Amino acid sequence: MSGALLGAVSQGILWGIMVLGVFITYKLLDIADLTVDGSFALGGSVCAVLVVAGVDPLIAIVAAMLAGMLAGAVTGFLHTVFEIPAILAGILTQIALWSVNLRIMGKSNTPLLQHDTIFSRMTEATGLSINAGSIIVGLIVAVLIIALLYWFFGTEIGSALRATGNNEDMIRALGVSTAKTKMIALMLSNALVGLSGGLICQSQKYADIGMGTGAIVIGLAAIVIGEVLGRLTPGKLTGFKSRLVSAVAGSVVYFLIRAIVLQMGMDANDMKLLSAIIVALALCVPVVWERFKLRASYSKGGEADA
Amino acid sequence: MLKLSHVKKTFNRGTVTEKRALTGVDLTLADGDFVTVIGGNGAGKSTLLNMIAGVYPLDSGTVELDGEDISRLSEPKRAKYLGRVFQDPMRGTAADMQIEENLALAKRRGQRRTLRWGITRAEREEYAELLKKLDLGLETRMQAKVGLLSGGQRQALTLLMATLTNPRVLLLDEHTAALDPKTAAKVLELTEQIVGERKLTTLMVTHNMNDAIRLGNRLIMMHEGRVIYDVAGDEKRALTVPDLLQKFEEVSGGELANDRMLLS
Repeated sequence: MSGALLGAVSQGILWGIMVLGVFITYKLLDIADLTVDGSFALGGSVCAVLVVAGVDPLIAIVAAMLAGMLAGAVTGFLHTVFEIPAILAGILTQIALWSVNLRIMGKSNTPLLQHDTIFSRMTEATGLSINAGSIIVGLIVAVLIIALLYWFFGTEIGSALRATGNNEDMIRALGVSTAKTKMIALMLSNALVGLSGGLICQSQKYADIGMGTGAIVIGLAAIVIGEVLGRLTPGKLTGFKSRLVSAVAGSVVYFLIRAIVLQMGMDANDMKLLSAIIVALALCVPVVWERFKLRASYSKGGEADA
Repeated sequence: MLKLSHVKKTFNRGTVTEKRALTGVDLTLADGDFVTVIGGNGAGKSTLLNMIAGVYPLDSGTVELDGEDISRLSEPKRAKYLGRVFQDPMRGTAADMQIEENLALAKRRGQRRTLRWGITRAEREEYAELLKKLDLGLETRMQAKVGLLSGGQRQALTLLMATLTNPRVLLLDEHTAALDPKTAAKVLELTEQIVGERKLTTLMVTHNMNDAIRLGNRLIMMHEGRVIYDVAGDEKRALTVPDLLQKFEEVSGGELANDRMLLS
């Protein structure tokens, strides 16, 4: 049981990198970017093929990241240059990537067999268990990425990007090309998704054509869980740094919930249904709450000033 | 100097919703001109400002700024020269970002954005000084999200942002229309003060004829996409609201005043 939970934690952290990518598009840019399902599997496929070909596992991970970035650029190109709605542009790239990924791997599944991974290196070097090793590797990457994102979104370009998601008219009137900022955001986001796909591929020791299916929903669920966690924490962690951290924390909690319900005997295939329900509920609750508050604030006498 | 020559714009050409928004505008603003723009709904006032800002491409004609033809420049490229305040207070600021972050974004208008930090300490002090002048107490809340401010505070902030880098032309598109009368008066006073101090070349669209007469050194009236009346100096100072109404009827053969304009 505890092994399964540790495994869930390590998975949660590695998927958490993908969640950070989704966070950039969904939370900062206000776009639900469906490229993610494709670019996650793309990262996995590229990584697997390179590792099997004998490339250093670390370089394979970097390549996975670059591949994801390229996928994001395709969506960005369709969206900004040809003004295809972001959701549709993402779906187009995602569908195209299915075929691309099959081409890359040449089959629907590529096992890494006995090839070295960054995780096996870690466990060999330190003598830690597989789970502890992946948690440490995951934490190192996650902390690095969070620090990098925190820095980037504080820079002039990063601020312009946040403003793009906030108020396009305004930032354009201030001389920023929103086509460029959106392009940067989509590339950065999918680079992280590709990176996460590469990490997961090495941690599970195979890449599969279906490994990215539903990734966007996992990402949204993790973000939502993370937000709730942030709000429940004393001191209301709503600063930018804590929002990034809680996105990863949300991912860990998501995989813990998943491990627990699977232990309780739920069919693994029902997990996507559960994820969808979590996200749908999370999106419904604020709307219902607003309506409830509106109705509760009505008073017949017209003296309600609370 | 801002010079518009034969500027034309038709929206949805060749469809049932075709709208000839500008039918040939010639307008020259000297440096330091503060021009108020009035006209009925659909007269082309906002379109005129949007054409100058490059929101839509021109159908024909040219827009020149200090002798440079900017007609084909994109909106972000023109932003370097222009300060803009919109009618909707929500449009001019980023609600989820801090007051100082908004100012820092505006400070870099038209500049190449780099990977340098988005706001410096020296800037913070400068912004605190500027905000103090607004007298809205914002200088003590610089890290507050702009979404927490009232419409009037947001509009005052937008005005500050639009003029932070001394634009060559300031475009005000009914920037007080969405505010309550008291706040509107305050924002207008602020406008007068900033434009006067820095001698900014300004185009201000307004629905309020009294304001149009009182403010600025020149007034233009638009109708059906053209400038139908252009008055400056002593003649403008002597204008009254009935004069404007009469003038409009003379030129257009119709009634200018809708209820909103007479009441305001």
